[in-house]
Amino acid sequence: MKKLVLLLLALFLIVTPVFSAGKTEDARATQKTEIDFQVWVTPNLTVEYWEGLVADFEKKNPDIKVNIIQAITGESTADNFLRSRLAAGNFPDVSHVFTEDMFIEAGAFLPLPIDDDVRRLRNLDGMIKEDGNLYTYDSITLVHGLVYYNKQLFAQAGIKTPPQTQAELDAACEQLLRAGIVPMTVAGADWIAGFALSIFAAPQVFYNNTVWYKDKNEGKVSFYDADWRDALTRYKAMYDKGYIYKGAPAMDYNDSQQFFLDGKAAMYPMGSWFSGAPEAVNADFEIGVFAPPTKDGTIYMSAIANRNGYAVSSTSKNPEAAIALAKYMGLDPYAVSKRLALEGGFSDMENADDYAYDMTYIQEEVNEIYKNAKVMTNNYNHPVGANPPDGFTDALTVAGQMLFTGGSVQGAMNELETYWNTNQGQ
Amino acid sequence: MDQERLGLQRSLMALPSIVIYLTFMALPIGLTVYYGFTNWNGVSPTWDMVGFRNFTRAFTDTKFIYSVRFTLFFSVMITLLSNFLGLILAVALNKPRRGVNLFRSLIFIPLLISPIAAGFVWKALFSYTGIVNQFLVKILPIEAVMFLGKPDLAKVILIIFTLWQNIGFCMVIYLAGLQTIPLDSYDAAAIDGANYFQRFRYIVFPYLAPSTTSAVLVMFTSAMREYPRPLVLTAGGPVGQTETLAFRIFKVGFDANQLGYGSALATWVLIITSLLSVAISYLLRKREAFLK
Repeated sequence: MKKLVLLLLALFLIVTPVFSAGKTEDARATQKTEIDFQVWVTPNLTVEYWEGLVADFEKKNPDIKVNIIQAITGESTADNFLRSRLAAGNFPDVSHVFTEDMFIEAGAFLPLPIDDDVRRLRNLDGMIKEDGNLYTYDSITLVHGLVYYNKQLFAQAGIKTPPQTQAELDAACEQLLRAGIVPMTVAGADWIAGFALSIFAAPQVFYNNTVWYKDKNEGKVSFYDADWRDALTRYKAMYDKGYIYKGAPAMDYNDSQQFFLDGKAAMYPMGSWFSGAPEAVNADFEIGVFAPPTKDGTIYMSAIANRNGYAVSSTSKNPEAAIALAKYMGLDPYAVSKRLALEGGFSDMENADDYAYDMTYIQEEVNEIYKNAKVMTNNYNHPVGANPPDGFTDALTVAGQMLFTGGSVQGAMNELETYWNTNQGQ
Repeated sequence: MDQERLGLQRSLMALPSIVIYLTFMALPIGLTVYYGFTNWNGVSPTWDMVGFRNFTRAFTDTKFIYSVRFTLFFSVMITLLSNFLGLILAVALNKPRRGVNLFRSLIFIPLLISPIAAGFVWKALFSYTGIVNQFLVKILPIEAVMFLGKPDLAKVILIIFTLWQNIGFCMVIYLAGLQTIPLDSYDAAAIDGANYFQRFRYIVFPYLAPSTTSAVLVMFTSAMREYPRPLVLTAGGPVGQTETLAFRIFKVGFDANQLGYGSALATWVLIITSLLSVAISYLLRKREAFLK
């Protein structure tokens, strides 16, 4: 009998808090709608940045609670993590997505409403998919290819104006070498090897053919064509002649950026996000920027528009709240201008003035180039008339590393051509 | 009747293990093989069956073939060196002496560190602007060495890094094996006038046969599945020269979004690793026959 009483008492003690906790949770749940938001944390878009925006959103929408989920990325994009969540059946309500086509095809995203705010997107027609739906809210254009330079080192070498043509770039590199200055730093040990290759190849290849990827899919062009051969030959020559620092194959992204910030190299090819980085703004020297040179000196710019948007899960239990968050992140002037400031991007909205931010002096220079660019396309893993095959960036990285480690231009062309032909449509 | 009940009870007691094995081992392996016959991209709710196309494609995939060659080379090096060095250390640290436990701990600790975390440390050591290069440039009249930028050097660093983490495991296995050798065998050898190397060759090494089988198999199969260390240290580069099989499969499945083909490659790896493991096990277990 004593044992029975003790057992009942123990059960009571265990069960009571469990039930009461459940009631408390239920009570809370009736007050607030909870949604999951997957973000991609980068050196520019930090955890604090995301938390700050979510706090502002929750303040403006007191009935919604947002749970931030940080993607585990490793060497890959956040989309790989997103894909795992889709397979596991716990897809987040809202996600910051990079390769939306795959998820749209899988029916993972909800078509988003197009209201008057959304209609202010200048590239709205380009964002609407073949099925007539819009799946992401994003109003940002990021410049993918720029060359930053150390004004002090340029002056030291006697270079008065930044190069506009490829010949002028070569001459500037020679001048820097004669002055005992390393002309350029590139991270050859990771994906930057392919990214920088794309930065220097684009003014040659995509400047001449703004739908090159589409033509490649239709068999009209190949990586053995003169433009790619010239671009790869130039990239290899830049390394062989010492224009690109000889330690490049062993340097990763951080090493290379620090090398430039330490004043050890005069030039640094990178995207516009570097122009907003505090370490760039606070460097001990003044930083200038120019567009990767074309043959004839026309300003060409490779930029990506509306490619890192916010999507809503088609299985979200709270679609209204999720749409509100996606719209806030993708279109709200406060949220978007914060991101523009950190990544040195440009607003794609008709009312772009509402998205103005205090530009750093480097961003002002990028803005000038952006305004004066005569030809603009995407590059790298973004559509140039059509999407490249998935994983194409890996082939670019291998080709870039090949050219840095004694490989031939022919080998690099083979790598790119084989990857494309083998993987397109798989 | 009692016997029947006992049998039923035993079967029920084994059931949880069977369920766990089927859920977490047999099912994933079965699904991997199944997806190998599809063109699934890993996301789409539908896919088509493509027969053996993915499996035959592997034969013409130069990158996969290279990763098979590199992984076999890597696995053989890791298996041989970690066992050789682990055995030497175990013998050296077998007798109770002052400080022996400290040395054992120092050698074993790297095994307890996450390969990812350790990888960042090794990268900081051997990167172009890393600690090793800073030291070398300071004391020698040379330029910084591209440890991770030259394919051959990158492979050497990767092997040394993996050995640094794995030797402790082999040492512990061999230390355990050394404790099982009957002392009278040593006494008999001493009476017969056997020297140190003869004792090692005719007593220690044969008695360590079960330990060798375990250590060799564990080292070989783990090296065949190597993924985190090349990921952090070299990102598979330069020019894909340190891409292991697991690394290649991940790239195919998740970066190129060809999960069907990636599954077929994983199935090939399963077959290759299983066959080699069975062969190694068969050969090594022959050495254990005299113990029975």
